[in-house]
Amino acid sequence: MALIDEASAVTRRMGRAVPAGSRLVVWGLLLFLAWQVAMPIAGVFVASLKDLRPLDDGFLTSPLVLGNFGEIIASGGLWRVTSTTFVFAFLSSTIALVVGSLLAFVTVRSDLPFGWLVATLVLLQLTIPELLVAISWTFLLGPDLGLFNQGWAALTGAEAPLFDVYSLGGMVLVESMILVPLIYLFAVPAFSALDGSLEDAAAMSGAGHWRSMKSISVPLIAPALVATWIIAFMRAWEAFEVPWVLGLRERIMTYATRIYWDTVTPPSDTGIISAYAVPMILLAGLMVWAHRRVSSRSARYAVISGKPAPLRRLRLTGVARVAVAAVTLLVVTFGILLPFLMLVWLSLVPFYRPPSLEALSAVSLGSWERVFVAEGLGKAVMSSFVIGLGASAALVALSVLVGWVSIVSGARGSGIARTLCFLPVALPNIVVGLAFLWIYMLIGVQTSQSYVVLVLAYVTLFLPVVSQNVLTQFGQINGELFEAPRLCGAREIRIMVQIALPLLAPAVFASVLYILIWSFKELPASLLLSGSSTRPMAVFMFDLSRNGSVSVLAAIALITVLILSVLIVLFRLLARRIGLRGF
Amino acid sequence: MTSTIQRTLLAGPLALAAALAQAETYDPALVEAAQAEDGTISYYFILGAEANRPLYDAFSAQFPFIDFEVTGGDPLSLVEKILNENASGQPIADILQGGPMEDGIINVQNGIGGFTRPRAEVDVPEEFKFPGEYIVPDYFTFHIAYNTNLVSAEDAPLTLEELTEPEWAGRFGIDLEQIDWFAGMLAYYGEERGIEIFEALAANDPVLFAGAQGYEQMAAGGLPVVANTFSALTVDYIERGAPIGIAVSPFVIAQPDLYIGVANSNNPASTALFFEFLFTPEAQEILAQEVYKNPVVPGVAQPPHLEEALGPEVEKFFVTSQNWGDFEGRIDLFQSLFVQ
Repeated sequence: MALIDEASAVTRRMGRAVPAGSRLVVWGLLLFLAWQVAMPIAGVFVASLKDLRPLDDGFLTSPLVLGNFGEIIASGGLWRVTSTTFVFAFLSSTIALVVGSLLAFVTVRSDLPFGWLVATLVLLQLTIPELLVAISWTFLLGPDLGLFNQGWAALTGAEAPLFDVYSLGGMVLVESMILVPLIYLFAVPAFSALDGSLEDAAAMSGAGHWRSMKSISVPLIAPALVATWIIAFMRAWEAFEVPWVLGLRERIMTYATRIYWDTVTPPSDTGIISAYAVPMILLAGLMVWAHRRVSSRSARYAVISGKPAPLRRLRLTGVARVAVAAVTLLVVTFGILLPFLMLVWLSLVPFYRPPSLEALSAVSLGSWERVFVAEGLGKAVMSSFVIGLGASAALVALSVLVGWVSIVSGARGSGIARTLCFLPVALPNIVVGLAFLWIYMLIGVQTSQSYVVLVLAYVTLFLPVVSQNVLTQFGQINGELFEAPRLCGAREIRIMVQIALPLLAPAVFASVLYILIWSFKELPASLLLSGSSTRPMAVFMFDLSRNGSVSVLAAIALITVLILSVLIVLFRLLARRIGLRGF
Repeated sequence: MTSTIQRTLLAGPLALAAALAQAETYDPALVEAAQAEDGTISYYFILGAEANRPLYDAFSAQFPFIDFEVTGGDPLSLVEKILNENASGQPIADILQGGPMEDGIINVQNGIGGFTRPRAEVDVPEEFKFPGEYIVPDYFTFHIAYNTNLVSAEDAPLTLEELTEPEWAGRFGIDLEQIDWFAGMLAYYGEERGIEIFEALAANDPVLFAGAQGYEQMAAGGLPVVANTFSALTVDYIERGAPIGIAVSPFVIAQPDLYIGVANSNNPASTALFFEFLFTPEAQEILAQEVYKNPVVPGVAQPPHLEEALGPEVEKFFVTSQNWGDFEGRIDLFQSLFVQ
């Protein structure tokens, strides 16, 4: 973000007048973001200080009180929950950063032959609902039924399990694997955006591969990775499924499970939910500040200043080749492929039994049939696509516009717009869902009868991810690239479409894919805002799962994976066509 | 050819008989009023569309001009939607199917429920009649269940007190989503004795889980016993061949299934017609044999695998809005005993 601040400042120092059109765009953006982001956040702060619910009579005039904060502190264990959540989120996101970056590096920069396999498996992982990933792991590393532990016991005769997934360590392991695709998807554009000529220059000056990467490539991609790490950290902080499935057994509570327990009784206790959200918003503010600090050190490094020279693929040889290949294959096999295969197995047996020749006699497609005969599968798929495409279009347009007014026009107010883009990272999805439900009900809009409110809620939910991805890549583009055509009389819109968008393609591409996949998986806000005619796939799955078994759940998840796999194949074909690596 | 002629000859009288039977069961004026409505019942139910599918299909077969639009979700999202719809003057829901918690918020706190009571309700035995703005055409129960490969029927624990014994330490599970069961147990035992038992249970190292995950563990042999299984899901697992047995306890917690008609429904006649249908032998049979809920109309058989566990010598203690206790207090207590 500081990279962008500097670019904005440079633009202003150049003395060029900010076009009137840009000022209008900034005002429009600020108004829209105020509605989409500032209002829910303000609502959270106000609701956290009220005893009444927003639709109760006298809500606005009731006195401000600190009772909700007192209650969450008095409910016991708040500090223990906070420290557990911090350890869980920090370790998960950091491990995911290391693994995701490594995988992105292998596919984009190295000459290892199985980059396509890595990309396929990582994207596959992204399509699987988190709940099912966690459940799969219980059958791989659970102390009683886990295949690894059973194998370990058979081999060694040990009574104690090799690894108990029902532990903080197990939660970190599984959550980090869930976060790997997020890091990967946004590390790939960062790696792809590097200009090969910079490394070439370093090589000509006598620097080796590793040194030129360390001195040039790593600092260049650091802002992008830090931004993604922050988002991964906040996602882990809010993660519900893994703590719910793996933490409950040993009573390991995180923020998300704590909120669930404190608000499980309907109607929602808005004061308590909001009081929990306030520290998260403050934490997000701290993250924005930290990100600016980190990226400011990178601002002095070179940025994209034309069509970048192609990157040299790093030729791995000898021990390094074997080591990188082994680690990569180990990670994708153990972390992604095995849980996926367990999911397939779970969907084929009416209830779990360890895979064996004997158990093959129990294999049936009964659970798959149960899902296919359920009413509304096709409609749910269509709803997810409508929401995903609508939200993707709006998010990309919004992010590109924010980047444009920041980088190219340097208009005042663009810094506020960028901060507003990032802040929803602190809002739990259920808070966004409730806020939109109330706001639109208050102005007389029926939320569950159309896709509009759902799309707008998704815009708020995914704004931090998409905007940070697009803005970081925008920040790598040298502003002079836009100045030259302007001096030649080109119109702003033409510069944006013909110069900016092609350079932003990797980030836009990754963002659209990410949103489309999430439009099949987002649940808390969708539950509140969708109706029977607009329910997306996640709500359809939820409905079936309430009355079903793990086998049915696994079958639904795999149907989702199959649908999304078609989407991913299409994206990969498109990526190949436009020359993007790593997808 | 002969059979075709026979069918043709029979079709008229059969249709006439069906029409006469329908007229006897349903008030013709109500049917006519339902025909004049939207043609869609907006149904809110936490178990989603498929849980009651056989019921909807059977009703729509009799009344083809009425369809169902089911909105699923967790209790929080459904209640939140109904409250907001009514607060903003844009009601959508016609029916909410739920339990004491939903009744407490929708009816007791907000007075949103209201509908024409079905005529057939008067024939329901007194033990299944509950006061309130809802109908109760079925109920379900909570049972101790066990893996039959790990525990024999003779050795299976029959009561919560038995589960507090050292031999079951760490070998039984508790479903944390079954708050109604917890409230029912406290109401049955009384506050003091109930808390005493639950404290002993919590001290005996139970395996905590939520939803189907624990049933899967029990079916697979990872969990010998579960203290509070939901009858319909347990029967579903047994029907799929899972080695699960249901303990025959001296008493079980039962919960009336509450169907709440919303007072400002857009389809009050269709709602009333559906409520009338729920007490017919046909609907009761579907509820028992396909949805695995317990019927309330005499003469209809219990769901499979529950005959013994709900035999005449087993006391059924109903947890209702009246004995549930304070919602938040119960949840806080449940948490403080098991989660924290």
